[in-house]
Amino acid sequence: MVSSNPMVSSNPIDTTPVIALDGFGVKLGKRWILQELTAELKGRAIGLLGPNGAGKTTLINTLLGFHGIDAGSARMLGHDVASERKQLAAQVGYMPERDAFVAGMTGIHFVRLMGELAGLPSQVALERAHEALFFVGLGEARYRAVDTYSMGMKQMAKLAQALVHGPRLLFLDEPTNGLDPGARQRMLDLVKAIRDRGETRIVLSSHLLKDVETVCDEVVVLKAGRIATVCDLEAERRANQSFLELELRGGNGHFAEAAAALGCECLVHSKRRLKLLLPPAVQVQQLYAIAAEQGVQIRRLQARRDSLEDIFLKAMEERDGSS
Amino acid sequence: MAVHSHVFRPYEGARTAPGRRWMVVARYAIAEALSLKKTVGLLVTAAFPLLGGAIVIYLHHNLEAIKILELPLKALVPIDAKFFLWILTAQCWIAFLLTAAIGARVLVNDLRDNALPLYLSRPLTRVEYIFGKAAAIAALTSLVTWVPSLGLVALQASLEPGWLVANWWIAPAIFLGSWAAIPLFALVCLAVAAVLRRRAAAEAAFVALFFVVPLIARIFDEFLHVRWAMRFFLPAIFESIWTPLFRLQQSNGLSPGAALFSLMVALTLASAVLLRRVKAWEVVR
Repeated sequence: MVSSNPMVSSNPIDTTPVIALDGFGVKLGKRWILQELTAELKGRAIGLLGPNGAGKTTLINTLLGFHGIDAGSARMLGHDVASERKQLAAQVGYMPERDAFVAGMTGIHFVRLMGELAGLPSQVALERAHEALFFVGLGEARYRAVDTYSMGMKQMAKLAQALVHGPRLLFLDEPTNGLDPGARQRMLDLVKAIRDRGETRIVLSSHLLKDVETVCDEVVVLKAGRIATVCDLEAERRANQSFLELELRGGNGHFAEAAAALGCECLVHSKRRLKLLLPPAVQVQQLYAIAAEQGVQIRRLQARRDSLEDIFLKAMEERDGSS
Repeated sequence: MAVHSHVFRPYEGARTAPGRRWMVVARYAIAEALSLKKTVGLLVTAAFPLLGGAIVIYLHHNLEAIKILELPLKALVPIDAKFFLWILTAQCWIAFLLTAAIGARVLVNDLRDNALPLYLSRPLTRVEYIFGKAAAIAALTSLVTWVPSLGLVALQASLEPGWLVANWWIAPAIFLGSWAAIPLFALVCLAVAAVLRRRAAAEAAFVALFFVVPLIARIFDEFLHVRWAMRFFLPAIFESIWTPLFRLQQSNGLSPGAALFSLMVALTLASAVLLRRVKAWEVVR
């Protein structure tokens, strides 16, 4: 249902942090749930990762104004979370983790209500509710009561209500929960389409590393209410793009020397397998050229990088070590 | 409308004033209440006492009809403060039932299906949300209390020139008397719904609250040899507030000050319960 047209933003890059936390802490009851969070997050799509009880949902809820801030400060889109809640709320969309809808209302009424509450004039809210429901693939079901929707449809309806007012920042709390593989892929495609449009920043909280890896370009890993690591996935991808694994056949065994002469660093090598770190100036095509010169067949060439799982596990271990 | 393109697009257009979002809550709650058959039924029922009142007023000013019916109507039912107090009392009972029928529903549906985080993530505070819901109940109960009662006053005034000047306090008495009952019904019903979170239970508890609490107070009265029960008995509270407004003799022994105090305590308690229970997230301590 998502348009296949690339929707790349022509907007100038906004350098204001999407979320800026400074010594941020939240206490529920007598227990500190979040402590000493300091970070500046600027990604187009920011992933919130962490084990159960790490404080992901509490962080989102506090940024939305549901809980008070007990230490430090937080800014979103340049606004102070504590003192400018109403201005922020108009620019924010929220898709909660749990089922959330108004029983007895049709999909279109539900999404229209949420649009009007966000400040859209009634007629505009109705138009955009139609659009949002078509966008998420519920166009045909928009006149059905939301409580009769399937699990997957309810997730989509929650997404529709979160974006009906065209928010600048979209909080998605476990958006693929309970979805079958097809629906999950569709949800991720929708989120990517919103991200690629470039005018809406996304904060995605998920247990599923694959979802975060697919959608996000920046990741915050929380553990026990503290930041374990902040990782610019996009930079990681760029940094590791030149990290190649090769499987070779034939030749006189001088391929590694020839590659080294190009400036490549040979990390591991045997006669048949090589692991090369390419300098930015060297293109993969040059390796093919060397292979052709030396009569070597490149049977497999794989660009590898640290997976998000590696980053996540490393962050968990480091935090364990430091705590 | 660009629904065919199925793309997400941001919104750059005008937005409504932030202070008016409670009206959206109220409007949708009214629409929901009016979609119920029992609401329509109660609104129709509320028309009967008013229709009766209108007929009496009409007959008062139609000498031919009085002659034909041979009724000493002017002596039996004078159109005075007592007449309008009777109308208001009847209408307030219907407003009470109307509140019981719709009040719990407009809140419980949101609480049960976890809609509050969606409402409150918008530029809408908890107070505005509660105010919107209470305003919806108040709007519908106004339709059966002061609005039609003032219509009767207007009818009487139009048929008898000079009557309004001689009885000028009746219209404000109807308005103020209604507004003594409307917020109490709305807030207490919403508070009960917020605590119980089940529609049928909340409806039953709301009706029971106004009868069971005075009963318990009466038992205390008997044992402690005090006279507190009256302070919890809704008809007595309203009678004590309404009779001075209508410039009538009060008979139940509960002073207007004590009745107002009871009213304020009930309103404060209901508001406190609502503020405590209507939250986007319940923190488990």
